[in-house]
Amino acid sequence: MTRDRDETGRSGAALSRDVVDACAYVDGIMDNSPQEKAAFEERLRLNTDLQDLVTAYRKQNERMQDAFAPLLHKSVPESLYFRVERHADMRRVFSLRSGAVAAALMAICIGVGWAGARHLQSGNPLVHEILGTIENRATLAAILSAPEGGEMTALSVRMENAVPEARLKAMGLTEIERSVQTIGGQPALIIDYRTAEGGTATLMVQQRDADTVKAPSTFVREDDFSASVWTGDTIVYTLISPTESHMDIKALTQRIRGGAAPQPVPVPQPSGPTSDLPTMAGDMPEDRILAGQSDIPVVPDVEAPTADTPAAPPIPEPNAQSL
Amino acid sequence: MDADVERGIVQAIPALRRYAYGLTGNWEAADDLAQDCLERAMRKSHQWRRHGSIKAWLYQIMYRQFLNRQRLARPRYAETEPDELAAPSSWATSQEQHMACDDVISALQALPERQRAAMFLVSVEGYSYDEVASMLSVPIGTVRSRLARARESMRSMLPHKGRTAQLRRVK
Repeated sequence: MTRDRDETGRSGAALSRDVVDACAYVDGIMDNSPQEKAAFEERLRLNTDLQDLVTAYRKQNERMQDAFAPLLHKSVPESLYFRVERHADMRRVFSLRSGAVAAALMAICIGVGWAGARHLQSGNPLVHEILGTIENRATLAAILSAPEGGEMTALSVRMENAVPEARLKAMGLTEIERSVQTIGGQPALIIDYRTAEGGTATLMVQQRDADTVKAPSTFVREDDFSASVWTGDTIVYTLISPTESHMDIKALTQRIRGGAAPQPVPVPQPSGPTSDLPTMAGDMPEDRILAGQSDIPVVPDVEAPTADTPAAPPIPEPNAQSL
Repeated sequence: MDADVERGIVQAIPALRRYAYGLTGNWEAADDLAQDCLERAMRKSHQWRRHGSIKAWLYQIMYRQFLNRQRLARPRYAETEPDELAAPSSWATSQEQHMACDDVISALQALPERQRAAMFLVSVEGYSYDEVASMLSVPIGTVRSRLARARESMRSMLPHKGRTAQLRRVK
């Protein structure tokens, strides 16, 4: 992820005072401070480079407005209005009195069912089945509960052998919220969990046709930020830590493996997979993937926090009061 | 949800969609983002306490959703190219204007996400630095530096031209 580091002040080129002041001047920020504005205008009068800068920034504003102003009048898909109206209708229904409630509920159920069916239409019945019936806790547990034995199998999915609920609780996971969202034009099931450390983890289950085209075999990807499993049926499970601490995922996966420190990528034995789980490599030799020699295009990793690129700050829930 | 809140949200949809386009540079991704934002806004509408602009509150939600999506779906977004701007004749009166708009939008997309948001909110929407700081949940100094960096990057990407390109007479 491209990340500016202006919060830390450690980004590449230092900003000159002229640039910052010229921006503030052009954006009208100095209007609230007449003294500052007068001082800047005095500098402006004497400095032709600064004059060029101000002219360039003003021109930028004009060009931005020219480019975006017409887009405000572009026709809006009905589905966006429908989404608002559907929620509003549902809320109104629940405020109705007894007699009307049953009939209205029925209508809403039909409407929601219809909308849901449309929402989940993605061309493959399998994704409907998974998004409609998946037991998310079991899936998450399955992803996390694969036996130790190497990076390759550590995150394999065995849906039929989901760990018991008790074990999930023992992991310290609590479901916060789940929803179906459209990501990249495809429905995705998003489940937010709170971890024992007080952080959050999100499980995303999604069919990704485009990725499947690029990566016809299955594979596993793991970094400090996320753990993904691509399965042969084009469903991708991504466990991700979107807020608070990117290290949550690492801590979580380490704990599932018995607290072992992260291991370097192992060189697999020629005899095959290191556990009784089916290899996630499909028909691709496992060692090629592990050694990074696969001809599967490498999925760009989400930027992991390093000493130079600190973890992104938490993104708090918008607070209406602050605006 | 009150009717006036609903009305406020509906009225903000075109602007919300435009902001989504400014962030993603792609109409399909923009509509996805707008849908998710609306979904979340409806679910969280009880948090709306009638202070400030409802549009600004929606922008705040959208920005958060955008950053989360960038993290969740990085490969897909990384593959996404800015759209060929659909039906240019509907919003740009000449090929030259269309190309100029295209350049500006491409330059905006080339900025880091956080700078892009700041640049859009100040330059297109005309929000003050204070308002942008609140929407992006960052200190005002961060807004200043993001904006300054964004402007400098765009200055290097966009040739300095007049608002309407000059035509040269060719004999």
